[in-house]
Amino acid sequence: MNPFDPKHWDPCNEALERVHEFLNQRELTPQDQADIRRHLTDCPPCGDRFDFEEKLLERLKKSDPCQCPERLRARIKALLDLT
Amino acid sequence: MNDDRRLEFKEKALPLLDELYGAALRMTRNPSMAEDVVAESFARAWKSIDQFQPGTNLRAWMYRILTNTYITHFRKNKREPEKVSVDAYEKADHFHLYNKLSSRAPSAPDPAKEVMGRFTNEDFRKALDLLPEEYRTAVVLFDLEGLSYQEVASALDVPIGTVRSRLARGRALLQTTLHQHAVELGLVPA
Ligand SMILES: [Zn+2]
Repeated sequence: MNPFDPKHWDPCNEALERVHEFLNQRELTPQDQADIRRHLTDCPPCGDRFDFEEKLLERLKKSDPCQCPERLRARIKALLDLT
Repeated sequence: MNDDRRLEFKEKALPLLDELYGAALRMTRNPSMAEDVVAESFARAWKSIDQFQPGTNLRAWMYRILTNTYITHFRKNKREPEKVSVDAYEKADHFHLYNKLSSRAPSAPDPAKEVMGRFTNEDFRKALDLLPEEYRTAVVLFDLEGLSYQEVASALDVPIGTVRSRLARGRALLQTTLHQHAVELGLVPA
């Protein structure tokens, strides 16, 4: 099967594969962004999956509010001669 | 010239300390090793400051050094990255958790959101820690730290296509792990 043959073009498959890229929109051309956004709006199954993945990654990001230990900060400052 | 660089480095690298430590902690999964990775990375950056082009992206440069330091000096098994069966993940359901949750109660209002709200931060951190290393580092650098494909690719020294597939598999595995965890917690039936 030739994936570029328009007869076999599956917008859902394409959209789901590109959900990952869409999650980071800066990596897509404005045209691709518009195409995928349109599909996610028109197709609730894809749209819901995208929303879910987006929320999950957002939540993952928030789960990790890290603070560098003071001991390490002091170690770095000493290294950079800032003490 | 190097004085300018050192000045710029002091001003811009120190504020990155929290996030670099966070990334190192997710890579090593070990607080004291994370401290050593960060300290060693700053030492290496400071020593090779003449390779840094003032005005270019210092943050990306630091992540590259950090990742490299971790991989070459601190990873337990330097030669061989943790072996995972690529096949198993090739076939992984990319929306495992979502599919399980929405098939559970199709009529409930957003069951996925309901269950996700019951996971703690610790649950998410654990799920990330359970990812095989090569997927975990890609997810940490791209999804958590917000580096670009190109920046992640050069930090990991792999082609961009590899970054993309590691991200896709890493995210798919996260859903699988979180689903297992939800089952253990009794939030969803197996
Ligand atoms: Zn669709």
